[in-house]
Amino acid sequence: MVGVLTTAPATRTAPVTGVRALWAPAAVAAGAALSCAVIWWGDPTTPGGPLPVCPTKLLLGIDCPGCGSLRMIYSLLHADLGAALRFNAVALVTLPLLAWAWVTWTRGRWRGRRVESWQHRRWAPMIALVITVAWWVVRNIPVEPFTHLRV
Amino acid sequence: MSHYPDPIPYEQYGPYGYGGYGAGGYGQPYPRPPQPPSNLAWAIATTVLCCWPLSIVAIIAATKVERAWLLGDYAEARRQSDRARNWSIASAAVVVVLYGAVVALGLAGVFDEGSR
Repeated sequence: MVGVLTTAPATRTAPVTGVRALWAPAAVAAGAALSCAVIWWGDPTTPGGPLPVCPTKLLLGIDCPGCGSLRMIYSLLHADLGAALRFNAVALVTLPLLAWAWVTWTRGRWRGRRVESWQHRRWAPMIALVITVAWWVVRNIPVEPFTHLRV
Repeated sequence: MSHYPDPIPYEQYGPYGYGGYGAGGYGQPYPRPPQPPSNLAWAIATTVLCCWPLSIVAIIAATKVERAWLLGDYAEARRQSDRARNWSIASAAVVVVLYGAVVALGLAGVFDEGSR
């Protein structure tokens, strides 16, 4: 009994810290920059462009929680905050949250231990789920004033 | 799989407080394994920017990580953490492939005037 109960957990190898640990945040930053370049090039706000419409919208004709995100980012890149808000307000609000998560993640990897952030709070996953589903439903309600949320 | 080492801060000791089962004369405390990450930020990012049907699965998995860990089901917590990560990766992969193909076609001139 004593042996079982006092067994220490398996130790893990020490993590890579410092500059060598930053490849993953750097890759994410590079991917985001590349995505912004593609969105700038593709101009999703003009119909008929090279960037494809979301398959959800194409097949089902409904707005998904992420619909309008490309146009939102395009508008943001062109400093048009009003249009960005109009295309996908929830996605716009998540951008600073995601940026903050990226910053704390990077600092955590640099230091070799987790840096607390909003996504580590206990109810964060459930709140995110509720907001996502609510946003999905609300922007598809086919009556005024919700029809203004369609993009 | 966690990138981080296993520090044993006080809140991660056994379910009944410092020492948990292992305290009380046996000398050694009985620490919980570290809580696996919920990978929530990835799930949210891929929901609004990538393929939402796969990312919703990731968010649901993320909601189950801490609960399983608090209940002492560490294997389940780890499993849900990995599910959240893997569904997020799948969601991102769909978009990278889809839009990567589009950009490749665009650079190849398929969308140029006169070729439609």
